[in-house]
Amino acid sequence: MVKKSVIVIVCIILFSFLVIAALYALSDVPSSDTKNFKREFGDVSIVKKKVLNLSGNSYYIAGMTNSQVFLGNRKDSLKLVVTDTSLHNLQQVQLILTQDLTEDDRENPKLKNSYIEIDSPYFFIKAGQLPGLYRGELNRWQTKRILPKTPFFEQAVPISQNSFVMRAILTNAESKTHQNVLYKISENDPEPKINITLLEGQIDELFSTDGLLRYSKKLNLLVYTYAYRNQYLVMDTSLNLKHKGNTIDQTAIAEIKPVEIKDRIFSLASPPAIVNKNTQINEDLLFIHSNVKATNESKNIFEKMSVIDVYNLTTQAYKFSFYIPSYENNKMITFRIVGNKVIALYDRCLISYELKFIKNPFL
Amino acid sequence: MKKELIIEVIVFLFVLLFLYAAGIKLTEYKLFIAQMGVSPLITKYAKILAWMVPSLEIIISILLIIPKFRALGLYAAFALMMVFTFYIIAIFSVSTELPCACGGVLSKLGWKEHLIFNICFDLLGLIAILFNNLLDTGKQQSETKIATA
Repeated sequence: MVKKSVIVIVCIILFSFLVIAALYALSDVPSSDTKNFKREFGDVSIVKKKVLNLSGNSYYIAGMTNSQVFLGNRKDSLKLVVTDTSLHNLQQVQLILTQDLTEDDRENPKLKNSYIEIDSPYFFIKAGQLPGLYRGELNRWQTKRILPKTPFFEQAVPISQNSFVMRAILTNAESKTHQNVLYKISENDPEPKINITLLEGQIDELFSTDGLLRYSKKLNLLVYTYAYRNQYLVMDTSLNLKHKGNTIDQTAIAEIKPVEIKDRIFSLASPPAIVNKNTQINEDLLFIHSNVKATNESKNIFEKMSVIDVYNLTTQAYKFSFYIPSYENNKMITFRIVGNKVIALYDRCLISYELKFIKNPFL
Repeated sequence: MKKELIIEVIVFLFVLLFLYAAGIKLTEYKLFIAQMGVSPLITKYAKILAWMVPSLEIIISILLIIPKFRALGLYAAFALMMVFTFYIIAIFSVSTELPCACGGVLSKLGWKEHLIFNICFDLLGLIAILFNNLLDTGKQQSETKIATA
């Protein structure tokens, strides 16, 4: 009799395994779908220079200058790791918070969720949930609080030593709907100036307008790259829209499903189709890490590499693409580019690459 | 006697687990659909699973309580638990950032802890099935003895 139940048990285990295996085989993550466009490779070659192993996977890139790379640590919000661009000479720095903070403030978990950003010769601590902004000088490491009237923010980009452009969520008091907005705050103009028309919703006003805010010092322009559609916005530092640029893929409408899961609490009902994963600016070039495969790319290679599309911000033209390769089966998480040096962050290491241009990217 | 007690305890635990989980899923219906929606394995079937999973949990609980159907209930409970367990293993390989859709306090478990929790229940189910089977065999043997005596 026991034998019979053992047979049934084994059948059950097999059956359960097959059900899940079938679901797994049939599942899809809506990302590397091929849309009808082509990429141009061959204008640059990328050469790996050095691998720097990191102790843990809680690091993020705080900034990069011509000579140095700075890493922040999510587990220790006041610690900064500094190395030169060839990834030698590692140093650890402890940032010193301004004396006018109380002991309670220092232990505040919302301060622990802050991010450091480097804007030579300054560095900034961005604590969007406090909210608070702190500034210090590189190599002196003491901070002082700036722009005390800043409201909560999710993203903050310094456009000078005492002015910032932020992305925050604006909630309509009556309808209780939320939307992403960009606002500017500066020492001369301490009340936040919101431009509510810039981010245009599709489907909804919150998830569909998700994206990344970046600044080009050389052009004194801001760029907001949408996450789920093939568009980026170019604005001046007063938040006036200058151009709407299009990325080369064809996703014009965000493929997302926002739903209300509780009273006025929203979420996405299925994994979103990410179009533009990450973006960085160097001088007048916009680098976009795209999640959409082109028709002239091999699926195998696309899934192993991270493709970067390069656009000229003055002409809004697409220039070329290149790959940042995976390392030991891990894909690149984020990157920074200064000149022809590329620094890429992976799960537990930082890798420096050099781009060799075959054609002049400024043409 | 001991086997019967153990089976009772295990049945009680399963009924408790399933009714709790089903209760949460039905009261937080929209949240449950959203959580499943984010999982690439089951996003296509989220709406169907939203009523099917809690219904199965309730039906199995009923089977476990009614003595006549307890054996069937134990097999069904084990089967459901195995499906959940394999699902966790599959999700592990996709991403560890996805939310768990089990509901309530179970969602607070990390994926590793969740796997251990499920494996424990798989083993409990296995023990209950085997003990129940041994008891039935024992009863049949003693009935046969009485009949032939």
